[in-house]
Amino acid sequence: MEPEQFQLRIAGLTLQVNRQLDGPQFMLPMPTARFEVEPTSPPDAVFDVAWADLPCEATGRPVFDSGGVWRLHEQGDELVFSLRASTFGEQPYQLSRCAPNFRHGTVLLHRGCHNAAQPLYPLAYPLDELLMVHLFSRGYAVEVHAAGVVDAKGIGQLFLGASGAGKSTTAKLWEKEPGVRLLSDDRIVLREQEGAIWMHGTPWHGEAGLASPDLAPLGNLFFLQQARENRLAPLGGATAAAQLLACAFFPFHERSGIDFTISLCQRITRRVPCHELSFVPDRSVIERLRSEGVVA
Amino acid sequence: MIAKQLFPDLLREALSLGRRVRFHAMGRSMNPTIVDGDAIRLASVIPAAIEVGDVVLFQLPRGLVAHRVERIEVRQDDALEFLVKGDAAESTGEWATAHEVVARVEAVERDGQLISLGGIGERWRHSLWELCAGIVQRVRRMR
Repeated sequence: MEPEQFQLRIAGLTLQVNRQLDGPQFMLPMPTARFEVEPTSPPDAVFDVAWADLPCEATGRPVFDSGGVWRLHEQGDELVFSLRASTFGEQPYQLSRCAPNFRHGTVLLHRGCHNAAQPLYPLAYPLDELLMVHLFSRGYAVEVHAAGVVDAKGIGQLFLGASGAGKSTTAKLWEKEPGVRLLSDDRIVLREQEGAIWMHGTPWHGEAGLASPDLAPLGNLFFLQQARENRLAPLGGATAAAQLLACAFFPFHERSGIDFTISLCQRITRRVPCHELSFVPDRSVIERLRSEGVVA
Repeated sequence: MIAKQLFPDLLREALSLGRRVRFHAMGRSMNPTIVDGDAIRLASVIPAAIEVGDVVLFQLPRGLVAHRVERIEVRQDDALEFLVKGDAAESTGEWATAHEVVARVEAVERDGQLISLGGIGERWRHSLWELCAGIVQRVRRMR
């Protein structure tokens, strides 16, 4: 018997997904399956999934166009994400109607775009990340473009940067170190919990394919820059907050979400030491950080 | 294990010899057109034949990237530059040069199905190629 629901817990927030009557069969791909939890406690958000014949034209007020597969419209008091790809034609292959607080919604899958005979993951990327990023921005957390390393003392070390900055390279270098754990080589979620800043792994990995549901208290932020020599420089104040914000994913179209994310980035960079790390992509950078006494 | 730097050169070499090349793609930036683990089929392409909307494999400084061409510009020295972006990527895209073009992604293999990424013309060429390849295989078996 195929499961009729599943729960994913990402950064401590639980998303429950229910199959509606005659809806698609579910499966969870790796590494997303690592984030599945037993449905023991009430979820933070619930989404129902069903098949539909989706129209080509989106209705409602246009709110945001990603320039890629997804667009956002406002219909009444709902936010509607429609996802299209030229491979599937004009109509959306997936559509999600969400309550403004992202606590509940529906996911509709266009029948003609999916193989109904095979189980599928109903929140296929980027929808899962979109829903979670919007939920995070409701006062919970911020997702950042970063590799998360937990050093030998269990302290989280965050290496931030855009694509090509060296996150996966950094993660692969640290992976070989004894006693070190990797939470992600591409996406990390930062949350204020129990009076500290914590970093959480996510299912959305990079080239190194590293994704863990684990978490760790955050010790340092390193903004990466590939260079010919290893160099560590302290970073503080507004510059550090701005650099963190530049690496953050948040809803650009919502003032409250932007305000929360800016404020959280400021609080994080005030509490956690920030550094600019120019580095040579080999083990010497790890030795340098250890010799400086920054990382265990 | 092939060295990371050698792989694009091997691809170019095989394509220049008229070979068809396929390999498993990693990543999610081209979801749902190319899903993590899909096999992508490549075809040789000259930069001048690339059109907006094509999915092209580039050898960028950060590695091999199969992304969609969003815009093509001609520089003052007549060289072509391509603005490329993953369909599902949260970015404004990045620029690639003609020298960084490796191949055009013409089809994706998923769950035993072949999904063509080209337009009608490309699909016809693809079907014709498949037909010819099938005939050649049969003739070889008969021998």
